[in-house]
Amino acid sequence: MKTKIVSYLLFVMMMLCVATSDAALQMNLDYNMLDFGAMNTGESKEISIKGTHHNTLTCTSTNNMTWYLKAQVVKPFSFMQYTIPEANFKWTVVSVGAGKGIVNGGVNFTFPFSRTPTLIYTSDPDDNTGTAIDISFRYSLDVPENQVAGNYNGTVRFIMIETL
Amino acid sequence: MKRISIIAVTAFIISIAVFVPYSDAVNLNIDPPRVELSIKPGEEKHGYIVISNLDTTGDAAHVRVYVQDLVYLPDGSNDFLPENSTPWSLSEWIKVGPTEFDIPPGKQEMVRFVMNVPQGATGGHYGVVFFETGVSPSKSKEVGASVNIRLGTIVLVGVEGTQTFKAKLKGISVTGPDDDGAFETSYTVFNEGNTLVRPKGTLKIIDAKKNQVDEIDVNKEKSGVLPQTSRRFSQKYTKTLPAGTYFAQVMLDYGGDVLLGGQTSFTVK
Repeated sequence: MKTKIVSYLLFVMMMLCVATSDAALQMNLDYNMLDFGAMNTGESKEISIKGTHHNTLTCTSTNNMTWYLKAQVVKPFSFMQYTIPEANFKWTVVSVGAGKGIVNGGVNFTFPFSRTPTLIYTSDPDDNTGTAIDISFRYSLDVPENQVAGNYNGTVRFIMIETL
Repeated sequence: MKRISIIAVTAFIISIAVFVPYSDAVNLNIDPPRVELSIKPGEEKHGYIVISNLDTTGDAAHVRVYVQDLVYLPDGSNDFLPENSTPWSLSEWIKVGPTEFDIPPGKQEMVRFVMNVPQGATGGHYGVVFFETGVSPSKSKEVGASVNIRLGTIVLVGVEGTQTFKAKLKGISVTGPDDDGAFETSYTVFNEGNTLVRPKGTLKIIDAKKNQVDEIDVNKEKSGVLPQTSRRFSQKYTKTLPAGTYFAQVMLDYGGDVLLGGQTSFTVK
């Protein structure tokens, strides 16, 4: 009976711990649509619906370990069998809020998306104790001159993980 | 009455301005982001990872869970490979579940794992359990992309009683100064053992008269070196030194029986 009560209390305590579990590794993306609207062949367009940027990824870690953020194309802009080259689709980090880590290439440096995950940000020890790091992005797309007209849709992925 | 209408209209406009761009938000948390286990051959251990949908206003988050292998890249980050593609893979030992589910706003899901170490297994084995939001097709009727996010829990398993810690320093060099006047000290550690090592220690700057002029910690982040692989570590030295010849001396403790040490000379003009 006593064992049952202890087990029950342990279970309840475990559930409470789970229910109140705080940020360990957290990623908050405020807007997950990159809508370039109508574009002509040969046209270049940059999107930043919030003025200075398009969306913000807020990364938080409380685990006291270095973490990093990467980006990759999962599915390039495609329409039927036609594809816009990944290299024509680019991101730019425009700010990192309170982040003290390293922005790959530096703030305002533009990177082409790739199928291979590309490093965006590596945390500083000061970033690993619960500070929310707001990484804001702008995106651009160049439609090739000879691109077939159509509704092109794609998917990109952001990855957050600690170093081994 | 008019004032109430104005307030109502203003509130409505503000609510649209605030909430429309956020309707496609996603906010996930995983806990823990790292699992370290020591297991005897032939035994198994259980655990769980909690994934929370912290977005309280949007839709349920569709999440897929899967295991991948990992390797180091020169920039210190990891790359992820399909299951069973590295000698230190644990993907045949681990079972996770559930592997696909929806988490309502403000709720969480407990993903359980069972780690079953086979008889005869040795050393350290490593992998990552990924939690990825479902790919929602772009809503754009013209040109558009959707964004999904992926968080990973790193899993490290040591097979109890079988781990050998052995490493060697393969080279040390100092280059520079660069445009900012900084020197870069770099060294490579080769892991000869069968388990991850984390070589941590100091870099001493010694002048020609054998006086120590500085000492800095290296690999404070405790970055690891996977079994039977090399990893290059580098450290910028930004302090100004008077002209002369100096020695950069690295001393590392990786958890083995002996410390690793090496030095090289460099000149400040």
